[in-house]
Amino acid sequence: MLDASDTIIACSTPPGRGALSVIRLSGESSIKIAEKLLGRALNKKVNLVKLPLWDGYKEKCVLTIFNSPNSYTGENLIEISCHGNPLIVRKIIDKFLQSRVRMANPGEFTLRSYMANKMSLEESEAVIQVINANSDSALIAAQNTLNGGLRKKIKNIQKKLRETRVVVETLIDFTDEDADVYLGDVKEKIEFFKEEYKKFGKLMESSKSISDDIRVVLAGPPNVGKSTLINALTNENVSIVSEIPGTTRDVVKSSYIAEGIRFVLEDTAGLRKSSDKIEEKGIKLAKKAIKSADIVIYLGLTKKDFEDMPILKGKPCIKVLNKMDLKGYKDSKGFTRISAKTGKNLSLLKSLIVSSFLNFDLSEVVAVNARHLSFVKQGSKAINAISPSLISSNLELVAENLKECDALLGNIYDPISADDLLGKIFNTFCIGK
Amino acid sequence: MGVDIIVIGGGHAGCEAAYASARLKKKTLLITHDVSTIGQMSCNPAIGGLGKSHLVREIDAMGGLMANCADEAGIHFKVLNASKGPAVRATRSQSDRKLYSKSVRNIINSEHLLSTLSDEVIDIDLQGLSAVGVILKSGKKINARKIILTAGTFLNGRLFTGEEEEEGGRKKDKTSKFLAKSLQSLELGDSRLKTGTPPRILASSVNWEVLEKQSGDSPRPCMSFINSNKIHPEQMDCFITRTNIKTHEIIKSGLDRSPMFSGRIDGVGPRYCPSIEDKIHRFSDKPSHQIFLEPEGLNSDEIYPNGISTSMPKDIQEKMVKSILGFEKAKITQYGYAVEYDFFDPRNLYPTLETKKIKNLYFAGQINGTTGYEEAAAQGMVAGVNASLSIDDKEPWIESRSNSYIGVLVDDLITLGTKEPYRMFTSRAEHRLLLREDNADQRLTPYAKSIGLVDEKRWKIFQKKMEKVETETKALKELKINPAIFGGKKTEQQSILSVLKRPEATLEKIYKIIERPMPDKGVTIEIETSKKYEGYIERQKKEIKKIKKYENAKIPKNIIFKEIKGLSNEAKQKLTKVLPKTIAHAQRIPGITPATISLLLVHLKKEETPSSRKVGS
Repeated sequence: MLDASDTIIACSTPPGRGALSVIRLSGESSIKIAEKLLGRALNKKVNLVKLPLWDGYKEKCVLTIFNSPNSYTGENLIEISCHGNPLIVRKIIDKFLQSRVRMANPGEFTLRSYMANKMSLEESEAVIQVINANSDSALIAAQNTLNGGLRKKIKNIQKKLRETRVVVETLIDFTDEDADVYLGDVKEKIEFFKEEYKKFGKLMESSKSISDDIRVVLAGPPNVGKSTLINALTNENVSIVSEIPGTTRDVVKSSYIAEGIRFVLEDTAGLRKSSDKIEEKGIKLAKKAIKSADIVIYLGLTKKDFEDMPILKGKPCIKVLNKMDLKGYKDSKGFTRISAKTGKNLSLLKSLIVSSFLNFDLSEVVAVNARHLSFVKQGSKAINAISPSLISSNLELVAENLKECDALLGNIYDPISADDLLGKIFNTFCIGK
Repeated sequence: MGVDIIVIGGGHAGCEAAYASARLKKKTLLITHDVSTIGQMSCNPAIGGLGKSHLVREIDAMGGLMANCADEAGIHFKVLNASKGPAVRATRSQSDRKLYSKSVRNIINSEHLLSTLSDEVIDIDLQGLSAVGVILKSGKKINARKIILTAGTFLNGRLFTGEEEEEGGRKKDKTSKFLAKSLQSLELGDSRLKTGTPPRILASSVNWEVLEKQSGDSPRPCMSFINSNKIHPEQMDCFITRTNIKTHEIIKSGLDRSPMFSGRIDGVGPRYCPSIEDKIHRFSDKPSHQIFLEPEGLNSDEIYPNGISTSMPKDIQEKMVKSILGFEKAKITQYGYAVEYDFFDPRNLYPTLETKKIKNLYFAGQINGTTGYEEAAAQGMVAGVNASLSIDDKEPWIESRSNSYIGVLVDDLITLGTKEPYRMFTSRAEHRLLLREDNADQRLTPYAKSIGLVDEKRWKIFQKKMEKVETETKALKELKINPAIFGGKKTEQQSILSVLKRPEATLEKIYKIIERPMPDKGVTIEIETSKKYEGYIERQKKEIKKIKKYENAKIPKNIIFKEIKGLSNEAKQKLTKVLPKTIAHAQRIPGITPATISLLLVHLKKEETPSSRKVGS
């Protein structure tokens, strides 16, 4: 458990050299601590101070004071601007760490802001995603969430879900009260809702992938040019290329950005039966990588190479025939032909990789993190469990599944209480014998 | 003169409270205006229905009287939601009014530690902030260790019919004005609610021929776990008619004279039991509303037309009734009226229903803002049992939301309070699937037995049921049938228990196929549901475990919410008002956000370990 009363410190600008670095100090006692350290009062909003860092050196910094609650965290907060030198930054932070201040955990400033009710959980999550965004699309998505995009999406599906629940619960709780609701209405509503939820789930899933890196795993038999391909796609020499089959053993990673999305490529050991213990381990790693990949590029030289291809359930897979530059190369339908060595058709391959993911309108995308997506996915499980026969035989289980989905989405936004749902029922139907 | 417990009021809450405390060996005195009105049904002559029958069965499982009286007086029984699943199945019964109150009085009068007194209580005798007895109208004091107040709608009750207005808690009964005044001075947070009744109609003036008939179920279900339907008296039918456009026009023409619409009633009425004028006003495009005609009794010539509760002027009521099919020549025996009464904010109560402010004083029933006989009786049980346990210095009886509707009811009241008369619905129970009518005994009877609340007869019946569940479950595990009977692929024979998981499979069908004598329904439902609902039950149990963790995260009594940094003013106010005892309790307060809960948790953690701060990540 994080202790909210501690004073915390961290450098808020990226590490490295630059004109300026900004260090943030936040906590109830932050101003007092700084005053004690400097031996002077900080009464102005902006203060130019000299901070003794080591013998004979005083760093000139600007301390900007934000008094509680008018700060990012809602607490007393100081922004220390100093020279953009990692050594100076470290020395300043060290100085404070000796005076009842501790290092902030990742995201802790934002967490405090959330705790002070300065922003909602989703907004604070979006801030973290803005900071961590590694591509343009992810940034747009995070911005959309900051602007309430996620809330709108969730609200919209919640509204439909609750309309369905109102009908189901009315049929259960007011069965003898002349409410003009019939089982047929429920069946219709649920069919409609299932479709809506499917669309919603897909959008969320796409959104999640865009906020994260897309993992593209290169797999195939040994010596078909996987390492050459990763080097060619990322323009970097990350993987050793040799003519000896089984050169790659560890999973080698490198990335590139296309269409604003960051793709992380993973080169894996060639799949074959091997007696070499280390190679065997590499093959195991390769299989694991394939399992968890977002996209698999399966590389071969002839059709025969695809006979032992592992089964990839529902995962986008691009089948690629490499070395089209060689003599005697045979073309086959359903395969993408490239030459990793000459670079032929590589841009085509790149666009195939993008299109296997980018099948939605970018402006619709919101920043969805793993937490959100897991709620949405669990919700979809609950919804899919509702079958027409369940509606006829056990309406109470239908109600339970809908309620579960509602509770899951309520973890992201706007949970509903039993009493609020009853309120919706009374507003929709005339209840009372 | 002194007793252990005084119960003020002889309605459903009062009777259940007094009966429970007498069974727990407490010398109990029930004081009411007129002992001959004990156990009266002031509203419609029905017990049970959705959510409510669940309460009745729980009261029964605790050895209470309501279910038994409903069986002894029941003239029409119906199971609602029969095909929507076992948890939302609910029994509704119509009672013969006279038989019902007679049955209640018989039980009350036969309990040797329980005595009754016709008198008016005008004040609670206090010593500091502790109740020590009551003061009667004559000035006489009676001492008691615990006082349970169940005044129903009698506190400052006012009755409205059109422009007419009079004092009263119920037609023909006087109000408790003095007591209301004394209670007001205690500042327990009183405000007003309203409810209403329909005009009563002379049965012999109704043209029954043209009306739709609704007969009771066959076989007839029982309300009590320990009764057989052989004790039911002769059965009667209910009938259905409807309002029409003409009725609605008549009502509209008199709206300006309705006390509801002219603003003379301040109290808030229930949204789920609106007056007919309210229904027509709010749902103006609905051309017709159903009226359910409930017989008042075997020898009664009165009908209770459920669905046209009204406080319209008498001449409008006359015209309106006569415009309805079957009522063309109907005679009104008593005009409909609205009743407005005091209630006390139940957030000022502990889960035992003792008031936070006055020690030894308990509130139960309608004065806590609820409506319905069943809700009142359940609270009576809670107050009666807890007052007795407290005298014996025993742990209080606090039901969790996951174990009973009684738990949901009390928790909702003391946590959320209420703005309208509170009625139970199954959708209020988040663990609805676990809280079935048929397993109320499993949920409550063992506890009731442990504190000495249920007799040997009930305990034996319960034990027999549980033994049967066990032996049948074992037998069905061994016995095998082919699942193909229920639409599956032809495979090998499987254990009946696993075949039961198929949606089409029911024990009723299976027992027929294997030609085995079918045990009682209570037994088969238990076996069937625990198998069919396995996954759901598991999940709900997991949730409950999670809640328990927060339930165990106690908030110290001396906490000052206003001083917790970072809490919004709204959250501070709400927490200060409710004074939640645990984090789980705080979570259920409306408007308390996850952020507030995180802050509370951080605060508690901090208080726990003031000196051992961790440094770094």
